[in-house]
Amino acid sequence: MTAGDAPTDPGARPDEPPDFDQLALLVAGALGCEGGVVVPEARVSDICADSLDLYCLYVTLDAWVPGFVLPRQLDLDIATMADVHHYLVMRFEQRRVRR
Amino acid sequence: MSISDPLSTPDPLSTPDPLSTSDPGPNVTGPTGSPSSRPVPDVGEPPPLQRTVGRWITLRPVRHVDYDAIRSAELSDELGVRWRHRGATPSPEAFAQALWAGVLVQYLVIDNDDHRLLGLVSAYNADLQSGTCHLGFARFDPTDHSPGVIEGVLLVADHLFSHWTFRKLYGETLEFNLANLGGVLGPLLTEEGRLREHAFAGGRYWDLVHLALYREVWETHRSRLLPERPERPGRRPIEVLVPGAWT
Repeated sequence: MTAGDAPTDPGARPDEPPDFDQLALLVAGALGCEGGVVVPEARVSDICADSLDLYCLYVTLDAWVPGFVLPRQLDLDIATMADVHHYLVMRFEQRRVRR
Repeated sequence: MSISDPLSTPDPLSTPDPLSTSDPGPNVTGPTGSPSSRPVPDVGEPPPLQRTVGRWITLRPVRHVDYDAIRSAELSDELGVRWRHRGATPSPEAFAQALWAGVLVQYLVIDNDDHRLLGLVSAYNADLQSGTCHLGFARFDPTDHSPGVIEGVLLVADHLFSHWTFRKLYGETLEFNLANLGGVLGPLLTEEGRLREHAFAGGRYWDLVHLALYREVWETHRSRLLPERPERPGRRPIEVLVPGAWT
């Protein structure tokens, strides 16, 4: 498994957080949208049009940080995919330090 | 018949008369005294289990002490007009009756991290003859964008398809709630009917939309939506719910 890739083996988790391009590819696959749509400046509410899309985004992020959620105060109409990537990497590193 | 092959066809000559009161033999598998012709499951096969603990939430049965909290949430400004009471304020007694009317399965959705009460998921009006059941849910804080309530709905849908022979689950919602359900329509739900200008709210009439989740569709998407992953089995929520804890 390449560092940063989401695990295909359910018993494994990545050793490294994803870079943005890796994350964008997986998010696009999970949401069934074009890869070019998931760019850093794209707003979360544009990528995830509804509750199920948002749920699928969370399932994708969960591969790196189990139970990951974005900060509650984050306004998804303003937050971008770069913000999502930032919080994911930050939480990943926090978990790694604790281990 | 092989004990290890639960799908093998029993020898009709060895099938006992189901009305017979004689000793059913050594293959009786349950306390009800099933006839010996019944296939015996493989010893190594795990028993069926229900899954109430997800990655973000835990499904917890409703208790009497929860009623006030649920009533407050359902009658809140955010939810009151949008869900089943449509702005009316039933008495506590009538509310309790309505809460359980026709219910087959009903759970509160509790956040695994901070034990907040996120919502309610109900399966009701089950028609076992036709293989259908209605599924409804409420997110108590509409501004909450965590995945918990949707995970709760998916766990209950999985529960219904796993342990009942339902062919499809119905949902119905007023048009103004569809914006939030929009994309769900694509991969999972089929619109089965629409009552035009059915309900009055906010100074105008709205359509009532009937949706269906088919078993085959669920089975296609199940592993993607409820992936099996190690760790974080979900922490059990605290046992005592403080009314209003989600505010």
